[in-house]
Amino acid sequence: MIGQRNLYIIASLAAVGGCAWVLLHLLIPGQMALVPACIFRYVTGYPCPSCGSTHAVLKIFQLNWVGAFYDNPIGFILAATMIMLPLWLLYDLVGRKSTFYTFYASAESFIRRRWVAITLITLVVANWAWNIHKYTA
Amino acid sequence: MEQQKVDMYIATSSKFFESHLIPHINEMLVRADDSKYIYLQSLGLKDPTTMLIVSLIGGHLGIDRFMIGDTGLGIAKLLTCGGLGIWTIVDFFMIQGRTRELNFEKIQRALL
Repeated sequence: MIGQRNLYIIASLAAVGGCAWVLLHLLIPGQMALVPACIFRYVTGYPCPSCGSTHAVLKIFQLNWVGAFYDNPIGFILAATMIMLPLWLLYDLVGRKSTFYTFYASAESFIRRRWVAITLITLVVANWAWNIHKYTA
Repeated sequence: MEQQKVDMYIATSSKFFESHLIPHINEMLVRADDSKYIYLQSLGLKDPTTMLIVSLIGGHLGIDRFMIGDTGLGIAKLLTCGGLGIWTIVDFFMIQGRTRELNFEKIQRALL
């Protein structure tokens, strides 16, 4: 289990990095397409399970939810995280609480249960197969 | 535990831990009961070098983090294209230290 301080540092970096990435796409849309975001796709030529999620997040914020789902359903998880995570971290920071860490610890032990893990792995693999189909079709 | 057994364990398992923790582990083992020795053999410690290879190959999908038991971070890495590739590269350098750290936590729990 990761330490509380390290988790908050990683979560803060992820929140800042994610917002910066989406903002850059909104500010300079044409140029960001030239940046190779996914090493996996750059090396193998095939998309990774989360390829297309940036476009999905952008479409979610433009309220084009069907388009976002077709780009990558993972975008919904990321968009929800992008909104909730900074607020949650601020709440913990201001109130000197550790609610996010407690949630993370309980969520991690829940996900480790066999049936939950199998369900999630199946969903990710199915989404990956769909992603590869979309990119190669 | 007998010093001879402790020395043997340290000699065969030192690569799994940070070098500055070896004297501490030595002390813990000496204080531990003899019956813990077999339990120690079955702890399933992760080899940092193997984890580096896993990180180089499957780090982008968070497989390295899943393998060492950081499930939450593994999912985060998987869903963010390996943290836009940056986290993947950072983990090439971090994963060995983290593996050793988790191995130490495992042995600490085992000897409690």
